[in-house]
Amino acid sequence: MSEQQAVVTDQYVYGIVPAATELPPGLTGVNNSPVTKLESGGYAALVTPVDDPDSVGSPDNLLAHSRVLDGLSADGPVLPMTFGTIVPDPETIVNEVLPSMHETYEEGLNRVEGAAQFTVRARYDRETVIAEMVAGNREIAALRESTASQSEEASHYDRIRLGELVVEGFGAKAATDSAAILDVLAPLSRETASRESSQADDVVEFAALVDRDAIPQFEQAVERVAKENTGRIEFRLLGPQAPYDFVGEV
Amino acid sequence: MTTMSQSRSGYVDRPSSSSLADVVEVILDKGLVIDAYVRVSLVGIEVLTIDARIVIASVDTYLRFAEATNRLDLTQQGGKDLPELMESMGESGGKSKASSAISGAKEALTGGNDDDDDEDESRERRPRKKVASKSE
Repeated sequence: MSEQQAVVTDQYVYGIVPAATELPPGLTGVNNSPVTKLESGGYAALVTPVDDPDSVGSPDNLLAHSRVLDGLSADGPVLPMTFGTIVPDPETIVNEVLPSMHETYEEGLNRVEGAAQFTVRARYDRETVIAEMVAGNREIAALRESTASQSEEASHYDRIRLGELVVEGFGAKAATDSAAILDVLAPLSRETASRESSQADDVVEFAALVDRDAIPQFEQAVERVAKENTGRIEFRLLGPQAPYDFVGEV
Repeated sequence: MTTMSQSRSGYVDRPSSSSLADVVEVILDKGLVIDAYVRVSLVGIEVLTIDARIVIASVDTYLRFAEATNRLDLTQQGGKDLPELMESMGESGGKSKASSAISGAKEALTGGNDDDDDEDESRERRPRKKVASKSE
């Protein structure tokens, strides 16, 4: 009978930090297990051994991954790894990964050093802006009236056309409004990275890399822009968080 | 330095702790990737992705916005008369936006609706399973 003792060597990798980075005592991550460092040549990988790689991809672990990275990024530069990265053994990390990626990590950490990421999402208040469109576009106003008085079958194509015009209307307004928002917030950021919108009534969604000492100014500017757009555009601000959007492709 | 932000303080919504939906949106497909030659495996996560351009540009979406437009009570929007507003505003028009596949992923991992979609919408999705799995 040859039963092999299972030795856990698979390492879940959260990200890369300077080797001197101090971890908070008792820091836990995926599977509620401790987070440790594997160091080589001035850099360290943040890791947790996992004995069942296939079960790592859970919502709890996704939250743990981000919690570890966001927490550490508050005190120093961190380069997040893609969620779910597992390396088969620690030696590979220490002897191969870290040494071979030295330059990339150096550039990457310099890029984000002294800054935190914020994610800004601006979304239209639908009622307010649709009312704008009804007032500002004759075809929309006309279709609104005519489809209201017809049966659903009779007005089917007109309603599609109406909806299409409204969706296009959001897009046109967003082009202008997003530029105005970025005009205020981009100058307060080291870098910004726009994201694709996920909804027709989105104005803009972007990540901003903000110098730590500029954070209060940035936050106040978001408040100010939100206040100026009360009732028309809603703002959501996430962060400070790890620089997920400012980690270049390897 | 975990900033204790209040939700809904002032004019900006600042969730004080990350919801799963927020985390999925921010994190998915971001971050460093280690070269495959070192035998990295990227954990297989089943993520329902959608071609969201289909959602935004779809008949279903148009019908929903048409309904929203028809339901709109203009008397509550106050302010100017309709003719006045039409004078002062330009025509709308423009391209539809491309969009990410994040909403589908979000729905898959959160198993529910985005809590800030205040209207109940049945989004028609054409789910396409994406299994990220890379190992050598």
